Amino acid sequence: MGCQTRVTIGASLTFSICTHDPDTGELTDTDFAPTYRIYEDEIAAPILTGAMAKLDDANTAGFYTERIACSAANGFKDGKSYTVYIRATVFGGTRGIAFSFVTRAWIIPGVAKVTLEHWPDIIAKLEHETEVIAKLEHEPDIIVGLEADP
Amino acid sequence: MGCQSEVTIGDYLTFAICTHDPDTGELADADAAPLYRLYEDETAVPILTGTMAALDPVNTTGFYTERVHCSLANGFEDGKSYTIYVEATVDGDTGGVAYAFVAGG
Repeated sequence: MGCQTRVTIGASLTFSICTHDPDTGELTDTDFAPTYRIYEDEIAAPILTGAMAKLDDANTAGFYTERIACSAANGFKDGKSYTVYIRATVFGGTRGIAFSFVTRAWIIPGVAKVTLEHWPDIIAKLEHETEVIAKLEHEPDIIVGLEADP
Repeated sequence: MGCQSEVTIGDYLTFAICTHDPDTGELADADAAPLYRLYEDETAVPILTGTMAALDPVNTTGFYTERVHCSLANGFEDGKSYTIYVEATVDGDTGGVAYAFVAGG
């Protein structure tokens, strides 16, 4: 559906919905902007709430998206699961959908646990992965405490 | 649903839909080839648009797929999120679905 299932801490995530007339099933714009609430695990207080916006309205119908920053500042933590609850109303009828995704830090196969003291080992393992190294060099905090990819 | 969640830049991604008669809920072929529009993040101008094609129509009903090349040349970038808007009409009624995926190096 309209949401990726994994996101890296610090990256953005975009989720989307298509809304329909509940009577006819036709793609139809909502009565007002659909609202969303994002929960961590099963904690009842959402970490983010808001409204979605139309995208490319001239060429679509009932198409709404929202882009969020999955940052530590927004309350996202590595290894947690998150649920997006969306509610949309069309012609007075309210429907909903739920998406879920998990956060992750950088995954480096073969490295049991990555901490800063393992940095030289990581570089050695990624000797030919120049793009990955370039990314990691600027984000050392991300790899601290990272567990290996099973 | 009918779209993977992640893709590596340079790889192909195939997404799929099943279309139904909105009155009966039965699998039904679309009146015309379903349309898709593929967006990066929330940029309103799609990077790819096109139509989907029936796959194995002898043995399936209302089953459409599209394979896109997630290459730099096609505008895909590492770490960006992408949304596909699909629109299909059956018996004159138009329905839709949205998929999302992220591109990685």
